[in-house]
Amino acid sequence: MITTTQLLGQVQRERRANPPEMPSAEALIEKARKALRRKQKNGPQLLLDAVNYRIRELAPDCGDFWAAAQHLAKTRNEGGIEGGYRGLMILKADADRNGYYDKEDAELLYDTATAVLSMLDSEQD
Amino acid sequence: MPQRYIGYARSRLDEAGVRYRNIPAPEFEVNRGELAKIASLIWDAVIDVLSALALLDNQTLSGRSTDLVRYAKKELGRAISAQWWAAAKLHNFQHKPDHPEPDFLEACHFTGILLQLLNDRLPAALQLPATSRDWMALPPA
Repeated sequence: MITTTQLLGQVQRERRANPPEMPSAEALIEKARKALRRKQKNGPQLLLDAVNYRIRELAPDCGDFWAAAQHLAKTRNEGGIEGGYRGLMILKADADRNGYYDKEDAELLYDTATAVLSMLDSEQD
Repeated sequence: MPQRYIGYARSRLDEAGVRYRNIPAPEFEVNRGELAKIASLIWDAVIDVLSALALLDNQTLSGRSTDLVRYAKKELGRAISAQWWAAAKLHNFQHKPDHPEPDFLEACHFTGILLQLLNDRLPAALQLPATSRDWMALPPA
């Protein structure tokens, strides 16, 4: 028979051994990449989530990610952030409207998202 | 010859601009065929400019658009890679002109920016004039 104290100790040891995975833009983009490869419907949204995650880190008070992307593009003089983010929104809307996306669409979505993330990250160095 | 490709690009963009200005503003739906032609001219102009850049860059490419696209995305910077979707969208539009009007206009707008980025990489003597692409900008909101 295990006591409550023993049980709590066991749970704590297991948690220490297997800490919960913290989300990150990198983890999210990897999750999105796998979803795109499997042609999951939520693949484009997961990519957008990854970019939004990084934007929220850079602009914690932003309520509107599109406005935040435009603002970051302007303050950093990097128009590719705005153009790329807008592209992600439009490509995701295409996939939603069509109910599917093909391999070329998936590649375009992924390349756009990684380019935007790269531009967002380089300004943090 | 890079000059020849830039000449093609300029000619295509000028033709696209004339065709675009001749479309009555409220007639998007009935002019999809003409807009598909305009999208085709813009896409070909982008490929022409890329071909010129690849030649100037001593790249050995097959001349296929897929190779040029790969070159653009990998070698010409993140801003070009991030906004390549716009040119790709126009490329799709020429074959299947079913995008809503705002998407078409935004694809034109961002392809204009893409062309500007590519143009900036050309030697001054080869650069396209602003008039070749300023008609692609979105009207002020």
